[in-house]
Amino acid sequence: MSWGLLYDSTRCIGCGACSAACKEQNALSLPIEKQTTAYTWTVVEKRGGHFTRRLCMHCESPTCVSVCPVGAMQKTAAGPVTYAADKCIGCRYCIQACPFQVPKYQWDRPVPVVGKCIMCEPRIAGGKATACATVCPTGATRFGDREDLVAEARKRIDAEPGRYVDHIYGLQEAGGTSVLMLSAVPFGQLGLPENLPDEPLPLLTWRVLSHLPDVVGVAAVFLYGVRWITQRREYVRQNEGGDAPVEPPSPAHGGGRS
Amino acid sequence: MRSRWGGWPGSLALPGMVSAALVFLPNVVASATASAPDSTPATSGIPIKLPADHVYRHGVGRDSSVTFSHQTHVSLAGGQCTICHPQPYPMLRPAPVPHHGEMNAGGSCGMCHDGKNAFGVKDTAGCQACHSGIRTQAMAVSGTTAAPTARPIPKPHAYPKGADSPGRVTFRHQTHSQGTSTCTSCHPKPFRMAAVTPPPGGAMHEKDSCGGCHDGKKSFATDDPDACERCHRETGAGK
Repeated sequence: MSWGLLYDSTRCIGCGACSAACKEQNALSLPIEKQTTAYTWTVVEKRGGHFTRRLCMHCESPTCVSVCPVGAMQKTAAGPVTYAADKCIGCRYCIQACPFQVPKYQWDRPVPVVGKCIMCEPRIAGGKATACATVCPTGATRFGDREDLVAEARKRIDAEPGRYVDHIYGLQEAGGTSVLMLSAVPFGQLGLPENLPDEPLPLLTWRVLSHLPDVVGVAAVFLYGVRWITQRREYVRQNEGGDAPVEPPSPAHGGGRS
Repeated sequence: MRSRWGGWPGSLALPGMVSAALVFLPNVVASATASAPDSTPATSGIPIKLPADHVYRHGVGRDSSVTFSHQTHVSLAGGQCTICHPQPYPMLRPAPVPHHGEMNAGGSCGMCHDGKNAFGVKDTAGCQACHSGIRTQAMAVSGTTAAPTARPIPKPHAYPKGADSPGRVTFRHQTHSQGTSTCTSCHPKPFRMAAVTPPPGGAMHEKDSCGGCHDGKKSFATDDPDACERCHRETGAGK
């Protein structure tokens, strides 16, 4: 079972309870900033008269996990993309890689690490809903099985087509995310990227990189062949030219020095 | 995706970097163009489920308990949970019992109840604005703002006559709750509310008891030889 969150922008009143509960749950320092930082993992923003929550989308195939050279970011089977600060070397690849600009850096610390929403992974492991969903007074943020949330989102759109744009954000974006969103306006107006492909982003580079071993192998054989031919030509030219005969290269150190 | 190179570690730096470069630039453009001018969002019609009332037990017979209602404290138009949460009041575990000491110093309830933003916690004429007993959820939901039933002024205390006392003393709240004195002038220190404090004896009724006010300045002094009978009336509980 994979857990997820459904955020319904049309039900949000911008009270900030989610931010407050997040601070408490994750023992983050106050105050609650206007935008997400390494110490504020979720905020409610108001754009064009519509509220929108900023939090980690918890991709099904996260780019941050793909790029992390030490495996500090992990996608768990339960849904959250977790972060182990003790493994982190502070390279900030994840910050560059995230299509939603979620991971934030502790710029004010001498030995900084990254901060981002971890979907209350300890709470989920303890059988509880995320802190934000627990305290939300309007049910704008709902916690549940992702499959159920998709069905719920679809039901809401079908029941009130005028209230929502006919799209569940996160169902397909970047290969799907554990956090799903509903909105009354196109998601671009909420500051979410609308140009993401429907396939997992790590796949983009995988298509190229998975062929690299083949290319290297073929190139090695080809270049060795070229070298052998040119050396052979040189050998033949010198021998038939009439001077002292030159030993041909032995196969034992064929690919070595020339 | 890793069918051919299943042994490769999950954290491949390079593929992610390249894909990040592919998505990063358009992403920035999208977020830059998305900020539109703010306007007040329509929040009407959204069902709001606020947490239940908190009852802080206090006093004799619970009639001075404090019932905190989210309903009366949250303005639904611009409700900001973050004013009180998570500091000083946590949301995910039981809220600490607020004490008057920290409130008076501007913490806890006193953050807002400072006499400017809301009636002050030191505003002792209005103790019952908070200490109004256990109110029902229904009262809170209906928005009842009428003052709850006032706590009756306690009955006179007739202290027994001491061995060397010139006469019995009857303390009357009625005569002592006039003027500038308020409940908190005497409660809970030096006189507890939950039980009758024994009569002060010794060095002319002690500075930290009746003598705290009856010092010759705020009120007639306890060691004024002409004033004994103002308290020690032979007739006791009469009048």
